[in-house]
Amino acid sequence: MILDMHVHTAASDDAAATAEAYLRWIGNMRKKHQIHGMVFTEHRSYDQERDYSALAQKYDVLIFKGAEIETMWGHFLVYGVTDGLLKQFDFMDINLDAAELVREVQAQGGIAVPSHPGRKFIGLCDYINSGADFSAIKVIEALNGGSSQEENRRAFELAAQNNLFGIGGSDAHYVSALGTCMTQFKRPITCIEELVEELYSGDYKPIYLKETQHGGL
Amino acid sequence: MTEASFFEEVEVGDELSPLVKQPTREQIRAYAKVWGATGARFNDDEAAKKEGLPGMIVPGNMMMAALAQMLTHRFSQQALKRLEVDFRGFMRPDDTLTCKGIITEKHIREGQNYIECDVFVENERGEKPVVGKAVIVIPFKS
Repeated sequence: MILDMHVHTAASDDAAATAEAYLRWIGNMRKKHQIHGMVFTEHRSYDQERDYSALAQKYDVLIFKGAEIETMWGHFLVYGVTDGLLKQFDFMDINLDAAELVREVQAQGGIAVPSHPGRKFIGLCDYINSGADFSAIKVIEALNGGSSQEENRRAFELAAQNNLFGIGGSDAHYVSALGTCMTQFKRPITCIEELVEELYSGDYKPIYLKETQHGGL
Repeated sequence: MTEASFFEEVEVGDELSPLVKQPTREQIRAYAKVWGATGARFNDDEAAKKEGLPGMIVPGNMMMAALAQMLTHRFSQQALKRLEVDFRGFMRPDDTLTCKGIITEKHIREGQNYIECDVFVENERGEKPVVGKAVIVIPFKS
């Protein structure tokens, strides 16, 4: 199962694509490539009311919701957002305590994953030697479609040196960027709880779009 | 690459013919002068470094204009209805900057034939310092 773990819609302040535009684009992508779904990870927000189930059914695409929030150690993707987390953390706060966030997300059944860790200032690599306790982090975004090769290399190095699992996500803000990097899971996933469970299992790998061509996997 | 200019001839996924630019310092200064930008970052390497930049940079809207040039060469000036971009990184003089576009949507609304394109500027390192979206209206062939 192949999922794009990091996608922004127009609900994010710097993205132009609507959810339905991505879904129509997937129809075009599937002529050549494999993609089963995606996670909408809007900047600094999580809309509890937004329901993508009808669109998901119409286009035969799995859609999950997460968030990308900003912390003192850079940006983090959060999968498995709960009411409790929304009450406990102000997602608009751009200086959240990352250690507390990672622990609390895990305690409430989710997982927090540093996004584009190789990027300057907004990625975990810049903070890894700060003396803080990063032991609660289990997974990082090792492949990010918006990062340079060097930034992704730094992310892979971080994962290797700290025995962390790596996911891939496009970080798409525009339709055609969807799927540039994705995550290949070994088992099927049908709900956010299963997605979180799989992320902790480590039974997946980050991949580039070119690796998903039909017959190529 | 698509060269079709009629609605029934273009398809979602078609790529537009790219347009390559390699702005020199002289061109950047001339553009900034016409634009009325007197800031150091578009005029002088040493002064730009004092602002914390790596040196002179290419104005973002200079490359936005190049994207518009790519689109209006491909279609027509009248066809381009909207162009919106985000500036995401520095572009330096003499960088090889390639304007690219890909058709992402095609639909008819209120009797007009719309196509939507993702557009971006890519440098020789594969980075995309300018990304955006264009809306174009083109006629049927018949």
